[in-house]
Amino acid sequence: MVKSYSLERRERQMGFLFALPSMVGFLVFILLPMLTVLVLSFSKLDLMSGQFSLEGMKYYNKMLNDEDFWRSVRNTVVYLVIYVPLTLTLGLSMAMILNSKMYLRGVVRTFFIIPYITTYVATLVVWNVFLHPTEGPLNSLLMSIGFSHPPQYMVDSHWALPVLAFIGSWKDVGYHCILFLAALQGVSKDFLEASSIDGANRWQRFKHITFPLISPTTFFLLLITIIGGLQAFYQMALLTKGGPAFSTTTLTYYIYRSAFEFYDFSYASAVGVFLFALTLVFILMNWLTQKKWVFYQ
Amino acid sequence: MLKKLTLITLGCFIVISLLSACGKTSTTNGTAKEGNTQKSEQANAQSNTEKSDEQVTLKILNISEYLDTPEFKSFVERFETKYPNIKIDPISVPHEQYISKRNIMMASGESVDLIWGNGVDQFDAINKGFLMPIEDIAKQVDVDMTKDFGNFKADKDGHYFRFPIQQNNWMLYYNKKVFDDAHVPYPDPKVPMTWDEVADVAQKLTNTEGKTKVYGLFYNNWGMYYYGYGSQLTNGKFYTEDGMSNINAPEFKRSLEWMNDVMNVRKAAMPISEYISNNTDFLSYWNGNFGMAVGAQWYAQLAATKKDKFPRDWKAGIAPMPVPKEMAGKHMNWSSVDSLAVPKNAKHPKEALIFAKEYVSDYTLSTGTLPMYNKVNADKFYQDLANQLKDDDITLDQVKFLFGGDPNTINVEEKPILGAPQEYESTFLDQIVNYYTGKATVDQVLNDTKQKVDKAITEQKDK
Repeated sequence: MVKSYSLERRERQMGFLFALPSMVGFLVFILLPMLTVLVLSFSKLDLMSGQFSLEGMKYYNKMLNDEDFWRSVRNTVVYLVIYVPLTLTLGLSMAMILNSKMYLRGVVRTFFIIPYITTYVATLVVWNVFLHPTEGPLNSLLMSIGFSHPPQYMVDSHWALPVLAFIGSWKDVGYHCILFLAALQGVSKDFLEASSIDGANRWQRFKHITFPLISPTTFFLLLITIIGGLQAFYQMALLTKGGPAFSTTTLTYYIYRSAFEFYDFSYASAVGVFLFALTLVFILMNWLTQKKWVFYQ
Repeated sequence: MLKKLTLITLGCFIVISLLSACGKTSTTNGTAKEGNTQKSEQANAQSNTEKSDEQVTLKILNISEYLDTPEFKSFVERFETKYPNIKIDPISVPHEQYISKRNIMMASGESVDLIWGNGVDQFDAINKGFLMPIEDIAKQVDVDMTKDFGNFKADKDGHYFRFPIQQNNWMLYYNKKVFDDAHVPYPDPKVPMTWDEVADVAQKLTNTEGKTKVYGLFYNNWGMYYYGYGSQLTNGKFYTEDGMSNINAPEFKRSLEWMNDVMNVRKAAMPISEYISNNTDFLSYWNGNFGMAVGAQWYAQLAATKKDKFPRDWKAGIAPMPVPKEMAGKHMNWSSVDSLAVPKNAKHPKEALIFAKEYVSDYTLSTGTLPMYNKVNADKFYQDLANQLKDDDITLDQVKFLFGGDPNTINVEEKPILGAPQEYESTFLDQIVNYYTGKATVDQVLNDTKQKVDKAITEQKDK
């Protein structure tokens, strides 16, 4: 009895030791920065002079009364509304194409994954050239067929945000495609054949068999797409700098701007905490509704 | 037991980390008066200076355009030979990332001894409380801030925070080949063109039908290229009497409309959408496809005299900066002072100012710029620059007149630098795109800018 207790304790200790590096990493790089941001959002810290003061809800009050903050929330939601369905729909469509019998399937798969493995900067340079307002191929084509004033994309306050959402979706869709493809390949052909024999058409087979069977993957991708959409930053930082006229300033870019351009780290922290809470709400909503549509075998 | 141990370890770790992040001597009430802080900064500086024979390493934060040059490396070698107890650790940052890098370093409490900045950068740093007053320490290195830099005035509350390097001298650069091709006479070397004349000439020089587009006027997507004409009209009045933004004044509106006329009506300047999408660099003027550009002495120092980097088969000309018709015949300049400054947590303020003094005495001239430090021989600077520009048929007389030697020059502010300067410039540039792309009227854009900037100024006052 004593021996087994001792063995169990040793095993626990060893387990703890094995987990320690990862726990330290989690503490230092995730938990500690999160807690620091939380503390900072209620305080003012000047590391140059070593002054620290508690400010209560000051930065949260400022946030709630800040017109620019609400515009950045609105921009984030608009981005999300375009980016999430587009990425999921395109990812699933591409996966279904790749799952069917076709020539050069391997080559096509490679092409689909290229945007995902290409660095963001290179991708954005290409899009910048492609969407150049006067000399880009797209507008050259539009002008050649009679559009005298084609859109100016990234410098047009109406077009810029949807264009950035589209670019974000184009970049990430390869990853979604791979995961959807893996899920589709896991769907047993027996079910599909049986339903065909029972007279189900292609749409009915997808709706009642394929989609429920890949729903855990869809649920996972939905969550990471929402999180990715809420954290969209690269396109704004590299292509539009949040403009024109604030039209592409999403919450993450607003945090960046408040902290690093205007040196208001406490306020940026408060907005960061809000973004974290918003992310949690979205995840929670999905988590609670998953019972209605996610089917675990 | 293990669970408890883990929780205790975790708790201790967080508390220790947070406390250490809060700095060495935290005060929890945050009510230290500014005066006391400045006194303690000066006292710190005093105590540091007493140990001036110790070996010290100075951290210098500056833009890479000034640090990554052979001239700077030679200057540092000369400096370290002259002051063997001072070693230089330069931190070089590309200009476009400079403010972010500076803010991160200041926010993390990293000690830097000297930081570079233009007028907006440094007033932003003063307003945010990054800098220490330097007049007393300057005296210890034999610099009198009130006399040694001409008419340079105290920055805030009677204190000097900036160690001036140079004042920008703006002028009109022109491409003689583009003028010749369009059969347009060159601008007068002494009498400035009015902005209306510039618009007319720019239109005549423009040729966008050929193989290569030639625009009559080059501009930079910087504030003064849009509001600078208004600054001349208002004598640099970017703020109202109560310290709020004056950007919606009729003079600034007229200034923005002038640019719209040149860009979108006469089509004599690159459309802003193309400018932004091309990531146009300010040195693009020197590719030869533009007739004129308003620019400061940095065009001469970075491009006109550097034909190895900017080879050209055309000659450049220089003329006084354009003026509004109300100021016809007057030599005007957008005044902005680049400077060095000492952060309030600098470890070696005295040594930093020794370096700053040598920087303006020994290095600034080699960048092709006349420093404001009046113990430097200006005549030699003019002669050297004229020699470098003689292939362009630019005379010593012209150089003296345009590069800082005309005592009758009327200086007006180049940019808004007092209240929330960083927010002012950034908001303005973000908003005006909508006007120049036809998405908003000039009144909407200026009113929106004013509203946002006023809010930033008020917040800054409340801090």
